[in-house]
Amino acid sequence: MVFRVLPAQTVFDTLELETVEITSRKVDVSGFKELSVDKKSISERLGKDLGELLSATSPVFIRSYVPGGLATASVRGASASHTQLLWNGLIINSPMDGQTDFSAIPLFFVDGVNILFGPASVKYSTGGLGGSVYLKTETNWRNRFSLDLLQEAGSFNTITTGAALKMGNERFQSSSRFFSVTSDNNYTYNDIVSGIEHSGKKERNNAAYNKKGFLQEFNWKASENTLASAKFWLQQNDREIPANILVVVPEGNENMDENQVRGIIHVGHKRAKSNLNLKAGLISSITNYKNQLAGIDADHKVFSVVSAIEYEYSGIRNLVLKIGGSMEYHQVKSENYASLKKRRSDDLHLLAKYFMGKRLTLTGSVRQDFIDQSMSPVVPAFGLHYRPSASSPIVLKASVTSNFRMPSLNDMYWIPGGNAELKSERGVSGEAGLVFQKEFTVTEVNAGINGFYSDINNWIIWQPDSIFSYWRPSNLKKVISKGIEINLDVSGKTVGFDWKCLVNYTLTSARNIKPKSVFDESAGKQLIYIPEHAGNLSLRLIKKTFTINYVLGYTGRRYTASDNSRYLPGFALQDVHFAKRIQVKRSGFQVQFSIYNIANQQYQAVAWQPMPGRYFNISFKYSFVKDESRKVVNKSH
Amino acid sequence: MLSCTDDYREIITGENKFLQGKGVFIINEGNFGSGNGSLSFLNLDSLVMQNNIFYSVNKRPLGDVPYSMIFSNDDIFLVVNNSSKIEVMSRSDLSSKATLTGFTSPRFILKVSEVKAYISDFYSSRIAMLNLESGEVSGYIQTGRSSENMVLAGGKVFVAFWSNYAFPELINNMVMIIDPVTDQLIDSVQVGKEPNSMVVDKNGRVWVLCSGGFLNKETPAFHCIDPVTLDTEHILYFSEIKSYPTSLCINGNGDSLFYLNRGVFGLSVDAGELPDQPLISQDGRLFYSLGINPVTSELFVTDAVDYQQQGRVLHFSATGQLKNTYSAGIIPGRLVFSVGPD
Repeated sequence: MVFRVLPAQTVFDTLELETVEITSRKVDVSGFKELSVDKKSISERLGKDLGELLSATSPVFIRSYVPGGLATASVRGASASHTQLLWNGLIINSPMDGQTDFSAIPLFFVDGVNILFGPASVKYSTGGLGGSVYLKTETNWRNRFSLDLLQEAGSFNTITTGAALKMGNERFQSSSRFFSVTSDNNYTYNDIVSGIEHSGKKERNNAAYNKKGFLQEFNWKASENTLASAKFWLQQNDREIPANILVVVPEGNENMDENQVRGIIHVGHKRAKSNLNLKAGLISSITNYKNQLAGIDADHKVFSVVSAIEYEYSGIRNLVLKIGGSMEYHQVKSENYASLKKRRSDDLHLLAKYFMGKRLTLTGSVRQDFIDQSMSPVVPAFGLHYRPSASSPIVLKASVTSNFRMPSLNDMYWIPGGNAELKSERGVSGEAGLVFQKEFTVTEVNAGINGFYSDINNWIIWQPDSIFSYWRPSNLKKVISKGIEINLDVSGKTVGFDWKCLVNYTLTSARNIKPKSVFDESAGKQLIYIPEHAGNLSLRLIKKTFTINYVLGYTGRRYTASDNSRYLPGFALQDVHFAKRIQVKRSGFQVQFSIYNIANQQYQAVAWQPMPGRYFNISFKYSFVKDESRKVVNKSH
Repeated sequence: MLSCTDDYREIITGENKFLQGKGVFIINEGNFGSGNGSLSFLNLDSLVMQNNIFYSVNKRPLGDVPYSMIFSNDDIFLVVNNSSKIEVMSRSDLSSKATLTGFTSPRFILKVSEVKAYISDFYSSRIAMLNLESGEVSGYIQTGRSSENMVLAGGKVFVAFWSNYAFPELINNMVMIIDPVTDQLIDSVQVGKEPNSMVVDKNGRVWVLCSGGFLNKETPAFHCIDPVTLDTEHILYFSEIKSYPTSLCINGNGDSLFYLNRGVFGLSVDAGELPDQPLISQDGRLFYSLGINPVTSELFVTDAVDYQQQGRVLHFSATGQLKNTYSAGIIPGRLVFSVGPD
């Protein structure tokens, strides 16, 4: 898995967040839809991965074969390679297949997750035809010394360990985090293979995993206006890949081992009316895939470097201007490519944000990529943010963009099949909606409803070619995806309880438009593995040191044949987390007991790949914190 | 909204009861690794297509990549490649009699005597011998390479070495010869690259269709082999190296060959050259597999469409006139006729 770093705008946002976050909530006036995942939802799942978080608490649709196994993400009906994953500004999608495995990102290394839908994704890069997911790590400058120890044990012999050590002063902060999870991952499922006479249980195995990582960050406030940081992330993911339950293979037949190094350095300088950010990053990864039966033992090596610069100027009244550029270089050495394949990808971008009075904000941006020195399609984007009156709790937002995605290197060079003649995928997307934000006496409401529309042309699919006999990608598909998204975040206090309710619902109609041959009945039909209805609900109650959180997720019917003649039935999953926290001076102890899938619902996310029924996890967390803010808090009490 | 169901399997719309009669079985391979293979039967008396018939009778999925089958007395032996098994069913009502396991990547099954069948294998370097009465593997024939299509001619079994995927050090341009009495590999004949299908003509000669390799490395060709001397009588080359001919079939009289090459082509076994023009042109369709009714010589062609939806079976007269089109399962592959008193 590798990345592209992303132009410096991100860098700027990081800076902005780090300086602003503590005092006030950042107000987004761009008109582009961006959602932050609830931070408590992250801290409740510190031993879990990003795929599990997004699946339970966000509108991003996660498709997974087995817990802990490959998990890919779809936003607004687009494909896995249309979802960009960024880590502090680096795009970590693999240049080989254009995808990312969301199960390979431990939440222990993540402090914040933002989801950028459709048009919003061009804020950071081209290529996110569905959207982007942005991962952040954050720095607390008031920290002096803190230690977090996490130990979890769960069903299927899953053992999770995490440790984080953070220390520093108001000028320099170091953060070191270590995380490890191992699981046998053998679980039972209701037999759907042996016929009516044998309606017993069966065991799923060959799905073990072992993941560990180390994340080191240094943050240096060189002056009040200058920030510098360096971040390094080592990650190792070894796992067995289970075949579907109709396939008979030798024990431990298929394995994938990944070793990844990611690093990024950043310098940001802020002045009264301007901002300058510089960033450089690298990613190196080796992925080994083994299939004993097929006699495959193949290494895929990826190396990428990137540098980016961005300058922002706000010296003109009512106007913010940004200009930025980046240079990226990727190379892949794969046993499935004829030779070392390289790609150079440069970017120039401009953005203008115009504040028309206090109520209307218009944002326009344009991005120009140069792939291997040739010009890619221009990517313009426009956003509108309108508040009918200064005190109105309702805001109108709308945005539109056109976007493109280059074929991945596998699409172009994989042997056999790679097709160097492929064209870029092209997308046009737009959205419009309302946001309601209001604080009442004891409750706070943050709600949104919007519609989206996207039209993706030249969609690349692999299928047996009529000229060649093997699977080959071509620009065959045209897809129109449209739908409605509703999100609700209500929190308050009632009879001694703090409570919070989060709801997401998405209606997605993602239809193939173009028949590919005479008998093709997929035209006008819903794409496979994209649910029309999906949603989740989270209800959290806090009474003093005790927290209970109930999570309900619903995934509707997903078709498994392109003519919609086959489908997997919808399913609902319910999780519940109980947590108790004790604070003794600077030490905090937390124990959390979680029951996943409490109704023991049998389900499959992918056909003939059954998922586990009810399972359990117990988590102990110890935190020691010595910081400046604690002194203040203690005084006030 | 919360439609929770205990039945969480993949639901297939349109399962049919199996009604026997004269007809053709269609083995729908499905996608490798997706478990969506199935069995269909087109009743040629009533002209009704019955889909997902194994599931409807036995209430369980057929498996991953069903690939080939034979009849033996009152039984059907159906090889399911990626499930490494053979399903044995009653020919009259398709009820399951046994599931035979212990194979690696079984591909074709050839009945070589009343009680013995050979099972070729994609990954393994040996052919399994199956006792058709006991259902047990009675032994193996070492071939040193993978094995694919098989025919019986002149008292010998011809086995194609079609893919060197698991044996990359070998060149896949060989037909192996096995004595079905001693179960010994006795000889081999060099043919073109990637021999994908074989038939035996009215004169007893073996025709081998070689695609030239999936990377189009070699010009595709027919090799005609005398089963007694094992001499190659003649070779008919295709004019285009980028041709990819497959699915060689022969009519009931054994005098006309038919194959797919982006269209259906036909020629006499006595012809000295290959036809330029197809008997049936592809016309925006995507021909995947060909079968010929051994009694009527009518042609049946499958169309895999986009490989992710119900494929089609196209029913043509012996002269290539389209009679009807039927929906089958995903990736309809081999067509197995049940039309005579065999």
